[in-house]
Amino acid sequence: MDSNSRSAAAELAGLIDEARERVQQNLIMQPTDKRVPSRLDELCYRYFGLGKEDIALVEDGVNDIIPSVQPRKGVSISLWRTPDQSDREAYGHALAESLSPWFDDGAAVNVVLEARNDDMALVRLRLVDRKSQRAYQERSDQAVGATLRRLSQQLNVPLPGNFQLVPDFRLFDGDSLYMVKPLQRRFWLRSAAIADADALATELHDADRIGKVSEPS
Amino acid sequence: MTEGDASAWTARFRTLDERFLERVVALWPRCTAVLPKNPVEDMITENLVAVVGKDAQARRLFHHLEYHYEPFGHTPRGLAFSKGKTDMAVLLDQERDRYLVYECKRLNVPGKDGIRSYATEYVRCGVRRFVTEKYAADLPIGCMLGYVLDGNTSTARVKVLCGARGTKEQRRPRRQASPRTIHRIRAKVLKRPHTNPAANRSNSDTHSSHSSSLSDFGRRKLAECRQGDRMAWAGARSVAERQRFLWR
Repeated sequence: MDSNSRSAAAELAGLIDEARERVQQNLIMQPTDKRVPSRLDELCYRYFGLGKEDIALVEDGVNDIIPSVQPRKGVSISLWRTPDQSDREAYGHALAESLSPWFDDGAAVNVVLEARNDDMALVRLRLVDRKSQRAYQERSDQAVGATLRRLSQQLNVPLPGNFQLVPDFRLFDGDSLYMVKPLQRRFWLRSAAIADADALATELHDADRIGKVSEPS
Repeated sequence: MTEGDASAWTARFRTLDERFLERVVALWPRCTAVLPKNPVEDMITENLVAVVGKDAQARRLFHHLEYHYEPFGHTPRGLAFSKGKTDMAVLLDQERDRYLVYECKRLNVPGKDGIRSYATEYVRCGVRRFVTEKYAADLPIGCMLGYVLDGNTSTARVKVLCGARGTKEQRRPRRQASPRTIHRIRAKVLKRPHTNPAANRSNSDTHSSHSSSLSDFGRRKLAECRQGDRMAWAGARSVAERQRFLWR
């Protein structure tokens, strides 16, 4: 156990002792301080040495995935609903943060929602210098179909007819990468952003290796 | 499904081994802080695996970091067998045959008689295992990790490069050995059973002539060898090659 875990364990024990004392002193149950559960979570994460991305996986699992696996009667499944602005923002932020370390120190990734309709969204990732890094943005003035048709003509790349049947469609155009994503919340969780970043890194590995192999020696 | 040209992205892309090595370098002080003076190779690797496995940033790069990973080979009939233990392997998922292997070796090891480079071992017992595809067979990359114990990485790098090219680097003349050292070396040489020097000078290349030129020690050693080793010995043409074979 390292020093960080030891100090987290001591703090956890302190918090629990404090709560027990409070219970013994007051016969009438007091409402719990709302900050305590999140403080307990934070200390547990520190005890196990979890990083930001590990925490995102745990929290998505506990808050969204497990409740959706066995939903209560009459409760809508949260993973099926359309992601709201905050979900999309969390996704964009997690994607940029997870993807940026795969590039040199001077590089960063900007995430912009270029277009969307009821079913689909077109996300544009731009590889930029770190000084040009921007927070997640949304452009609501464009339709997905029209934007994709324009891209297809511009790049002379045939596009699949039905994106529902073609998962993980990605289109590289210079320093931009376009991704088509269904507008369902399960595709916009932070854990989905981490998975997308990993999948993209794997593809870039292959592209990098193939590029190097085909270079004249 | 991916379309388009990703060259602008790959130009700035850092590969998995680059990122993993970066974490190893960052965590190295934490690893060495608990190690004794002149630790053996396995002890360093064990501690490195333990430290890297607990690092949240490093953990994002792999599914599992395995110490003493044994890749499998397959006979033409499909029988799986272990190809030996690699020091460390980065497994990307549950697929057993897709891994990034690290063979670790110590370099510039301080000892009683000064610093020994171990560059030859680095090449012969490390790099060669990748060249012969004992490790990382059918994979695009395999990695060596050198633990430079005296911290002089530039000398270690030169010696490893020379070892790989099979040349001796230009080095300063050695200082005169002390009489005690000379005495110790002589004592070692005298204790060591040796082949007949006259026979060693002969350059014949048939198996029988090699056997006849052996001392008792050589014959005993050869009797202990497996069939494959015997054939390798029989193919050894130079005196140095035969001596290397007997003394390995």
